[in-house]
Parts: sequence; C-alpha cells; structure tokens
Amino acid sequence: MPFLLDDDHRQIVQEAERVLSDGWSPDGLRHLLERVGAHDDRFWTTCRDMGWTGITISEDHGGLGLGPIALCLTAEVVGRFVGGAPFLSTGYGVSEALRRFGSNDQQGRYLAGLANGERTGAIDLTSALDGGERLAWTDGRLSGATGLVAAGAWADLLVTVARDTATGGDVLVLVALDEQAHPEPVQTFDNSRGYAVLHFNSAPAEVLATEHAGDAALELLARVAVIVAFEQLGGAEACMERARNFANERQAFGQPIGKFQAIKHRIAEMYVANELARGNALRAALSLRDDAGDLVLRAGAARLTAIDAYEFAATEAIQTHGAIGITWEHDLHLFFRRSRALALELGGRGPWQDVVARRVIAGVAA
Amino acid sequence: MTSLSPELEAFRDRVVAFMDPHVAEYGQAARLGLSLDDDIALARRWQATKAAAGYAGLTFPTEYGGAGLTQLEQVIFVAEEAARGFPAGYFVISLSMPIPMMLRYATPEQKARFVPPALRGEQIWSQLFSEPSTGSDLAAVRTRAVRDGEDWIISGQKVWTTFAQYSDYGVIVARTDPDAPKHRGLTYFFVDLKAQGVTVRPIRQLHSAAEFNEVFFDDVRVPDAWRLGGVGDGFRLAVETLMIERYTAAADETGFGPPLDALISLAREAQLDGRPALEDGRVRAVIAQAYATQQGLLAISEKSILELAAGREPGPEGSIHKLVGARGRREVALCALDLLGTDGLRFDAAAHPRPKTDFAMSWMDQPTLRIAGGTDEMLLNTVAERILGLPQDYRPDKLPR
Repeated sequence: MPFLLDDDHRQIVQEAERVLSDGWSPDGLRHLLERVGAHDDRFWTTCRDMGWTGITISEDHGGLGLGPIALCLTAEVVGRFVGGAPFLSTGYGVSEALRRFGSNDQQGRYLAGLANGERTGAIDLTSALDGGERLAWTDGRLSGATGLVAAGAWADLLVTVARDTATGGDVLVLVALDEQAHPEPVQTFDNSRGYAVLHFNSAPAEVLATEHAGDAALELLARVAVIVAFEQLGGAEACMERARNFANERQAFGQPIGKFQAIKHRIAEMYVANELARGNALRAALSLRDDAGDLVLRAGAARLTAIDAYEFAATEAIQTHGAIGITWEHDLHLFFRRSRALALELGGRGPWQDVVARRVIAGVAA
Repeated sequence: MTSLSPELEAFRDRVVAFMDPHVAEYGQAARLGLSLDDDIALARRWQATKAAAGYAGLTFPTEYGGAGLTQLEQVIFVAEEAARGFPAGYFVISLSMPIPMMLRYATPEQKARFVPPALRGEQIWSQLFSEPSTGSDLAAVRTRAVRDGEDWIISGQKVWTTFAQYSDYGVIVARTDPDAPKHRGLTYFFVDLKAQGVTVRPIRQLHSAAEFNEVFFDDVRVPDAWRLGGVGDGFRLAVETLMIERYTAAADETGFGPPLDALISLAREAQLDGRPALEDGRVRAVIAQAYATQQGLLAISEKSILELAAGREPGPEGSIHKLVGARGRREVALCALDLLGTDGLRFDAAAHPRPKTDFAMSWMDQPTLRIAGGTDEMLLNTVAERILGLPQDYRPDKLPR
C-alpha cells in the first residue's frame, strides 16, 4: 500500500527545485528547437553535478544507490522545467538493463561511466509493445535501423531488442554507439530531445538476455515509463500552475478571468487529472522499488493517466492564456511539444492501452 | 515513503475474517434480484450483525455503542465492505451526517436514546436541507420554524430527501429569523419524520425508482430540546454536516457502477465485426482507460488513508472520487450497452435492477450521481477555490447590505 513522502524524499525534491530554479529556465530551450539533433548540455552538466545520473546506480559502481523513488521525484522536478536532456530517463533504462541482465564484467565496464554521466544511454524498446519490426542480430552483430530514438543523436550506449536470425527468437542487446553506429538525427517538433534513427551494419553487440527477451524488454520499457510518468506529471503541474497564476492575474471584463467558470473549471480539471496521474505514478514507483506487483500493469496505468494529464494541462494552459500562449516567446509551447514527445517516444496511448487491456483481461476468468 | 502500519494491516485482516463468512448471506450475489424492500431488510440485518460484532459506528464513542476507533479503520472497513457488495448504503447518510451531528451537539440523554438504535440499523435518518428553491445555494432555505413556548412550529417543504420514505428521523435546517441576512437566520433541528403534519412523497426518478422524496411540514411541532446548536447557527452547522460528508465520501473507484470484470465478461461473449468484442481496439481502449482511472482513484484513497494516519487533513479526495468515478462509470456502461446492441435496451424497472450490477441501470443512474451530494460544477468550484486559490464566483447574496 502507498505512500507518503518521507523527509529524505522531500529534501531531494527541494534541492532539485532550488538548483533548477536558480540556474535554469525553459527559456534556454527555445534556440535548441531550431537545431536538429540538439540537447541542452548545460542542463546535462547540472544533472551530472547533482549526481542525478547515478541516483539508482549502486555505490559500488560510483552511484548514489538511492533507489528509483528518488529518481522518480527528481524526474518530476525536471519535468516542471521541461529539462532539455533525455538521458535521465533513457540512461536509467540502460543502467537498469545492466543491473538486471548484465554480467559482472559488463557492469564493471559501463556502470561507472553512466553513474558520473560521462557515458549516456538510450533505449529502443517500443517494438516490445506491439511486436513491431526488430533489428537483426547474427553471431554477435547487429544490423538494420531503429525507429526514432530519444537521445539517439549523442548517446554512447543503446539497449534494444533484436531478432536472432539463427533461432528466430528475441535477444536483448547492448551496443556501444561508436563509429560502427550511424546516427541520423531527425528533425522533429521537439528537437531538444535529440531524436535520431540509428543505422547498424554488422555492428558488434553484446547479449544481455535471450530467455524471454521480449518480456524483459517490455519490463525495461515499463520501468523507464514510470520515471517518465513523473516527468510528465511535473510538466502537467507546471502547466496547471501557470494557468492558475495567469487566471488570477489577468483581468478581463472587470474581473480576473479565473472568476469565469469556463476558465476555473478547466484548471480544476487539470488538478483532477494530475492527481489521478500522481496516484498511479506513486503506486508504480513502489512497484519499481520493491520489484513487486505487476510492474508492467502499474506502469501502464501510470503512463495512460500521465499522458492524459500532461497533454490536457499543456493544451488547456495555452487556451487559458489566449493569444499570448501561442507565441514563440512564451514558454507554454515547450510544454506542449514535450507533452506529445513524451507520449510518443515510449509508445503512445494505443499500444499501452493494449498492454494494459491484455493484462486486465487475462486477470478475469473466462 | 510511508506505508500503512502493521496495526492497521492487522485490523484489515480481522475485518476480512469477520466479513468473509457473511458473503453468502449479504454479498453481491445474494442481493441480485431482491426488491428494494427486501434489500433494505437485508441491510438492516447486516447492520445489526455488524453492531453485535462491534463493527457498527467504528468512529463512534463506545458509550453509545460505537467502537471508538479512527477514520482510518472506518475507511478500511468501508472499502472491504464495498468490495464484497454488502448492503450498507441505506445507512450511509444516517451514520455519516445526522448521527455524528447528534454526537457533537445533542444532550447525553438524546444521544443515549437515538445513537445506539441507529447503529443497529433500527432507524434510518434523513438530511433535510434542500428545498425547491435551493440546491447548491443552501442558505436560500424558506422552510420556517416559529417559536411557540417550549416548542417550534415548522412549516414548509423540503425536497431531494434521500430515503425519507424509509426514515424515522431527520436533521433539518429552517429559517427562524426572516429579517436576518440569509446566512444568519437559520437554525438546525432534528425532527421525527413520523410526527403529525409530516408528509413524505417519493419522487420517481428518470429510471423510475424513487430514492428521493419531497417532505412537507405542515405546522409540525418540535420541542426546543431537539434544536442542535444555537438559534441562528443553522447555516454553520449545515456546512459542518456537509464537510463530514465530503470527508467520509465513500471510496468506490467504479463510481458505484458494475465492476470492470463485468464489462470484460460481456465483451468475451459479444461479437463485433464477426470477432469477439474483446479483440476490438475500441473496447480494449475503454477497458484500459477505465482501469487506469480506477487505479488512480484507488491510489488517491490509499494516500488519503495515510494522510489521516499521519494526522493530516486529507484533501478533496471525496470530490475527485465522485467527479471522476461518475464519468468512468458512464464510459463503461455505454460500452457495455453498445456491445449488447438492441439487447442493451432491455430494462425492467419492476425487477429493481441495481446500478452496481445492471449496466442499463448504471447508465440511467449516472446523471443522478453527477448531481446528488454536490453537482460536478460545485465540486470543481471547491477544487478551484479551496485548493488552487482561484477567485470565488460572483456572489451578490454575500455582499454587505
């Protein structure tokens, strides 16, 4: 049963808020939007300096060993600022893959670099949702092209699921994105995420798991989805607060526009959607921490409500602001873009609805 | 992160051990097809069984037949009760509003006389606040109470009084000073609904059952000793009553409609485009979204329990529950009726279908849920004003005179 934050958690949140409020604003993101394959290096440096890159990595490997809830809460704060570097969640996907499936040798080679942020990770696991096309894996070598991968333009390591051409089965692999991988940065509506298609032509790739590799990939994706649900929640909260503050300040027809129920009810609806998303996200976080419950199902519920909450808040915050909200100069379009980017990059509503439905239906006896 | 204490988990285990042997007699399946009268009779027996085992009135003081526990145990108990579909609804108003108000404001003799029988299910209480001219505007009450020696004479009309036709007593707000500003001229009493001059007329709802009533007071004599709080203090006490309601709002994440399992079972049988409906993306989307919403509500309930345990006031969980639960229930019911096709039209009011087990009834009852106990619009106002600090609605009735 969930979950009240304790003092340690509150401290993590306060510290993250302090650092980001002092040193960073969404304003810096705007110029990244006009460059393909960009990311906010200054923001990433902050993440490294704060040790956020190693929150969940054990102290043996140079991390903080704080567990996933600390990372979830940090991601929520980052989401409030539309942080411009995807590695926090995608790198977690890679370090988790190593923690769960990596050999001692693999962990020794890669985790310390991920922990201090020298190495960055990306994941390409959405094919686990829908059985989509996979890369081909033959005798330790990877070929083919990924879909759009967040952070793909600069990541050092990629975890993906490929098809073993010998057996026809799935294999979870780790591939170093050195000169053997050819990232093709892709122009998107949220260029700050560094989306790229990665092309492999017989690039060496290490095996992480062959047994039930598809399930393993789905579970990894679900784990990242929980972290991202917090990031989405943070974004949704920020949009709600901006809408609320604007509605209190902006006068029209002789009164603050927040007096009009058409406005105030919309903002109250944002709160309701956010609370649903928060409840699900917290439950899923407990599943992450305890390796308990049906993680994929809980992550799915968290993801569906987080997608809904962020997109509603971002869209309706713009509407609340009126024309100022649709200008390039205003921050709201950064949230608006990000809400859709986060909804798509780990698999959208449709595939996640199907994952959730499949599990819920399986739980009801015929 | 904090979780529920071992003591509370142990309490839950005891509750489960107490309830499970009674499922056959009082659970969801036992109630299928019962007439309303039979269901209420069953509910009275279940209430008496709970009282005998010390589980009625969990938060009430032991000297009046309660268990002297906290809101926490209450929330845990209600959740387990709801999960088994036990008939507790008929006493929810009695035991969560009028009786707690009696415990706060009545004399010890009155408490001793009224509280224990109410706990045993021997009495049902009503709350008589709304009038034809009032709804959410509680202070617009016109029913009069005029002082006559040691008594008050009450005249007027109340409406939307839940289960008044089965009720023995009620709490009422009446205007005792027509010259005072509207929020200040009201007084709070409890009344005998079987007394001379009281007429109860059930109101048939759109689904043809009658949960609500009009109640007419034609010079009904009420002793001054049955006044709760001071003369002119009625509005404050009424608001206090409603706050208890928000606080204890039942946490049923299905919005009191049929569980999701029932939709899944139905979709397993039904066909769409020549395939089992369960394979249809539209149906799967409804199932997934309803599940996600229900789990979110469950998480909010769990969090509010922990807030209570930590000694903090919970937020507006009850409001969110009613708002979101009612919407989710509509989505699920509509999907189910769609799958049934023209068979979805079947509805036999005489068989007393219940919204918890019958999709047509669930759909027909959903508009009620959006209105009763605070409309969606009032709940959104509450969230906007109390939590988010947005400005209050324009309220000319509250301007200084």
